Amino acid sequence: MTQQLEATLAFTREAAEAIARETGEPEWAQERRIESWRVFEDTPMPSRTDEDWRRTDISGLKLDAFHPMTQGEGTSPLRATDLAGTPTMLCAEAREQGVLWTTLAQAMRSYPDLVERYLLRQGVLPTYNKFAALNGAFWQDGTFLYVPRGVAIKMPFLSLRSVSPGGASIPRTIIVLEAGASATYLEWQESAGGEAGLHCGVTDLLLQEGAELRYLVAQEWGRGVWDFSITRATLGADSRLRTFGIGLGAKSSRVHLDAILEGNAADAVLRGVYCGDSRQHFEYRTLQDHAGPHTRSDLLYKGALKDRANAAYTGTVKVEPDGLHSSSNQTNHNLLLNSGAKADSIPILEILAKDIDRCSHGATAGQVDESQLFYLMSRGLSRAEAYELIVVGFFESIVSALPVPELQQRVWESLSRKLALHFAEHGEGA
Amino acid sequence: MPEFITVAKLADLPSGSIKAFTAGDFHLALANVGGQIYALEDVCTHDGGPLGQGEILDYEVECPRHGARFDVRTGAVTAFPAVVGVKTFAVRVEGSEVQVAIDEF
Repeated sequence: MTQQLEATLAFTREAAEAIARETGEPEWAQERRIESWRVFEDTPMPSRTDEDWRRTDISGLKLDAFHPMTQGEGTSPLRATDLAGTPTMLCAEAREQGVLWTTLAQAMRSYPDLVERYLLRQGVLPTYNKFAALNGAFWQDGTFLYVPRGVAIKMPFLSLRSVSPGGASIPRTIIVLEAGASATYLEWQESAGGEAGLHCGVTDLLLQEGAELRYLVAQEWGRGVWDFSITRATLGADSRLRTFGIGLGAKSSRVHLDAILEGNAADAVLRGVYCGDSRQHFEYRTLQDHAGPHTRSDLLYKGALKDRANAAYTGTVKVEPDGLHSSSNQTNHNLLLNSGAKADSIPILEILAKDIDRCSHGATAGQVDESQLFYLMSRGLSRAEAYELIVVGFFESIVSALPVPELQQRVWESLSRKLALHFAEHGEGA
Repeated sequence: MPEFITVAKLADLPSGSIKAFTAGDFHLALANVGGQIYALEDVCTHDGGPLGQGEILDYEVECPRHGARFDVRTGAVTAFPAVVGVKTFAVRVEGSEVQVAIDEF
């Protein structure tokens, strides 16, 4: 069992080197850590005067207050699950077909040539932003999933993430699907209580020709957690990606999702749900990059906000010169449940191809429609019941499409919990 | 009524100035207009600009980002592009300390 690093070593070069030693990394991996550390050191902390960070205020984040967790503190991807019926251990059938699913550290030791191709060379690079560099230098808990050519695994792979009070969870996930492979991956992130914590996770999704991946990530971090997540997916020809992002917890959550549709006819469907209360902050920044021809992408993110919660969504659809006959759509809907809640939606389209099939975007932000409430109440429902029905209906299309039924149930329970008081506030006579 | 907590020293706020301070998770802009101290949330309701870096004009603060204005006494919006007022907080001066009552909502 590894020892927890001294707090004084947090986010220093010494800490990065200590992590490399503890992980037993090969030399190339250590070098890449130090490269990342240099970028981390040289990159200033973002502030509200930076255009990309004007809607996420992290001036209250003191990195020195956190120390990296160690692998032994319940962050292994192979822990038992409370999402009933979803196994976390690699089943024999998958193992026999050559599927590799293990911690990233173990994968580096057992399959160094394979991991070397991907870690900090494909996917998210440390230069992406300060937090990508932090992850590159200090990642500890990580997951490596490799599905060989033509292998299709129906049972979802489940990874659980947590962070202890005052701790920092810095996981690196690499998922590689070879040509024609198929898999479903679910990551559930949660922590209890309201103490401060830091999550800085990076996920690289690499789909080769004809591969199919359903990637779900749901976070219910405690209210003191600063959450930074970056996911970058690169899609080969005829590959299909389906992502679902659920944001429910954290003090401040900033999520990046980039889908790079490189290969001909690559296809990405990106779905997201977030629900904020109190003074929670959510920022989502997505990129649909149509680099190849005949590529398709469709994004729908929906959020409900109450109290003084706020959300900012910035979505970029980029169609590169070779993205001929591509089709893309980006939609963001926000439901504001009281006057103190706020949502910003900033769509960006950058079209460089001369002939495309479609490139559309739309955004809404508004309160529950009184006429819809009246209609439901005229059918005998109380105001609270009518309200709840409308909000449930708002999320229905995305939550019901989650490919893991146990996750659907869990998400509905969390949403109900977050919104229940609000429904009660909108009861008779309110 | 929430408790008053010390947020700044009076000496940090010369007359006619506005500055940003933090109180826990809250970002406040404290303004001194004619010797009277006012506290507003340091976030412009238009586009999140930092009011604490704005300019005081009579009883108004002008957001440096796009020029929205608010009355520091009431938080009411007085000029576009903001259309929603900004939250204000009760303030008292105890000796040399400026204290603000932070109510979350």
